[in-house]
Amino acid sequence: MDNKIQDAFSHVKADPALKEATKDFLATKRERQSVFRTRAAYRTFAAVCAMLLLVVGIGGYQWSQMPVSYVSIDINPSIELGLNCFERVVTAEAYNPEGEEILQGLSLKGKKYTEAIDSVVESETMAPYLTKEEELVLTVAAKDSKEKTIETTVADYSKRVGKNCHSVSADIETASSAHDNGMSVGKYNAYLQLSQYDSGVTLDECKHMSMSQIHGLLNEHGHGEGRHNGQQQNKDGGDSHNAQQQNTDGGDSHNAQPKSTGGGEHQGTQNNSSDDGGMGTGGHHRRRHHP
Amino acid sequence: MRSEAEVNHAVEEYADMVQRICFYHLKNQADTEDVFQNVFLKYMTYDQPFENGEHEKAWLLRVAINACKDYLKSFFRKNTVSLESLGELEEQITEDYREVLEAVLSLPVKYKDAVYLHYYEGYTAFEIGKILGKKENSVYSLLSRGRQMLKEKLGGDWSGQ
Repeated sequence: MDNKIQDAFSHVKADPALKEATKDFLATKRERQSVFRTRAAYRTFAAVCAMLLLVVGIGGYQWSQMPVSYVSIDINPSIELGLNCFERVVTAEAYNPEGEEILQGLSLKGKKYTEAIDSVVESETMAPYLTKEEELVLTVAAKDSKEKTIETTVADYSKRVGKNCHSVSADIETASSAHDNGMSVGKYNAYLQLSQYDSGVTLDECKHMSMSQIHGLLNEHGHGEGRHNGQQQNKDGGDSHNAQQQNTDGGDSHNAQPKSTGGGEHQGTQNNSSDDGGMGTGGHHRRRHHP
Repeated sequence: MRSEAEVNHAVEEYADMVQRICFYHLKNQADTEDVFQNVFLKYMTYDQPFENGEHEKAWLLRVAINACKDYLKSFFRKNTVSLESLGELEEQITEDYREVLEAVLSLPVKYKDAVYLHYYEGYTAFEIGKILGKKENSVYSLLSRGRQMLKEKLGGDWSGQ
């Protein structure tokens, strides 16, 4: 049996054509594999490439979704837009129920911040708040590189809106501490200014005040002490106006006059974004706070 | 990567052996060609040196057997049933040999391997165990059972000795 099996199998031979085909096949394989010495190396390379692509993709996406600057829109509704480095909205957060109501009907993500501010201010739910008694404050918090461009654009915008609209700038650090306290940058910035004059004011109180109320209080203290914070550009303008009006009214003019000139000087060095109308109405409503 | 001369030499030297292994595992010539080329491709890209010719031969045997099994395992092959390889053999094979080959081919795979390695290549049970990754004793029982089955198929005059 051994021999028979052996003999039988010995008749099974490789076809010479197959041998030649195999040699050719190996020769072409050799050329193709010269870059990657083995299939395993090729696979590893491919895997590493894929991983790299994935990491760069995910990282890049997260990077583009990271807010680097903030624009907050405060009247009484408090809304804050987080902008990525392409100045597009990546987060839109409301810091009080009124703000939430406004954001509900809007989709702001991915929009250019100017469009986003437009659609917030022009939304129907916003309309009831845009009265003469209320102030619309746009606060920009950005890193140095972006600050200028966003600030100027927002300042221009507030000019166009006109009445009762101010633009204010804040540090990016203010933004993070504002978020820690559950407030928008705009309101927190106003609170910081107010707390300089009135240490009795708490965050909670400020949270429930509208911007015009806060500015009203600021005005009172501003008159009392005659100090002006550099960031309160618009209020300063309003102050001087107000003071002059009081002066002509002949009311409390004795005190108001010298302080108002101080305010006027400040204003000259600062970028005042409110127009005459804003100053006028500012004076108007502030008068209500100074009976 | 092995040099071209080395690879060509191996193809000349071991082509028949690989062909035989493919022959008793696979169903037709097309499959054989696939596996055949793969085996020598593996040889070309395998960088470890062989201790001697015997080592090289054993390595190729193992690679060829595994390649055939892998090929049969693949989804597309699993469900095809044919025994064409015999038909494709050259006509000159006598009826006698044909009968023997048919009998060997009809054995289950593990018996075929043991029978081929023992009766054709002349390996001992211990060596077969090493090539197939089995214990020596299992090889003994594979061989004796395989012999039994061949005897049944080919008639009583098969002593197996």
